[in-house]
Amino acid sequence: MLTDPIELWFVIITTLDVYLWLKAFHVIAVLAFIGGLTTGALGLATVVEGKHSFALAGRIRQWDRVFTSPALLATWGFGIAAAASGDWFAQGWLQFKLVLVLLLSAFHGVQAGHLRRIAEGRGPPERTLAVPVLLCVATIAALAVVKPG
Amino acid sequence: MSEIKATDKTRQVSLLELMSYAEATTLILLVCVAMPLKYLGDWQSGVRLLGPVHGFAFLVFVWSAIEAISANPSVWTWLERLRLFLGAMLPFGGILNAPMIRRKSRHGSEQELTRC
Repeated sequence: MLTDPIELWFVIITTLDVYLWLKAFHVIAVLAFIGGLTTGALGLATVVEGKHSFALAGRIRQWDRVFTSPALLATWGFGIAAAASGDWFAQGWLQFKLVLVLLLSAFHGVQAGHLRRIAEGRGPPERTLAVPVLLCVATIAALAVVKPG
Repeated sequence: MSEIKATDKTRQVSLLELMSYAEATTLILLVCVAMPLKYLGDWQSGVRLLGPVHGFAFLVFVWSAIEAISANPSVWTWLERLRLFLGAMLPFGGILNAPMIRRKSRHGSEQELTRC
C-alpha cells in the first residue's frame, strides 16, 4: 500500500507508460528549438557581415522570444521529465549529453543577448556561434540515438 | 521608444533575479530538506522530485545569466560573473546574489535611458 503521494505519482507515470509521450514531446520541442536556433544564428551572421539591416535582427529577436525560447523551456521540461520517469540519470551518456545541452543552452543565451544588444542600439557582436551550435547539435543527436555506455 | 527599451531591459534582468531566487530555493530544499530525509529517514521521494525541479530551475537561471551578460557585457565585471555562477552552486548563494542582480538591473536601465 503506497501512502507517499510522490511515490504514487511515479508509479502512475510508469504504469500509464507516459515515458514515450514525454519523449515524443521532447523531440517535437527539440526540433522546434534547433530550427529557431539555427535560423537565428544564420540571420545574425548576415547582420554581423552587414548584408542585412538591423531590422532583420529585430524580427529574429521577436521570433526568438515567442517561439525559440519557449521551445527551449519545453525541451528541458519534457527531457528532464522523460529522463526522471525512465531512470536514465545514472547513465554516462546522458550525463555527457546534459553537459552538451547546458552548452547549447548557453549558446542560445549568448545569441539572445546579441539580439537584445542590437535591438537596444549597442551595435552587432564581433562573431556568431553557428559552427559550435551545429557541432553541439550533431553530438547530442548521436548520443541520444546510440546511447554509448 | 526609449521607454520601451528600458522597460524591456528591466524585465529581462528581473527574470534573472527571479530565477536566482527560484534556483536558490529549490537548492536549499534539496540539500537541507530532501537529502537529510533520504539519508537519515530513508525517504527517497523528496530527492526524486526535487532533483529534476532544481535541475530545470538551474538551467533557466544559467540561460538568463548568460543572456543578461551577453546583452550588456560592460555592466558585469569578471568577478561579478564568477560570483553569479558560483553562487548558483552553493545553498543560499542565489539569495545572497539577488541584491547585486537588482543593482545591475537598475544600473543597466539608467545607462540605457542615458544612451537613448
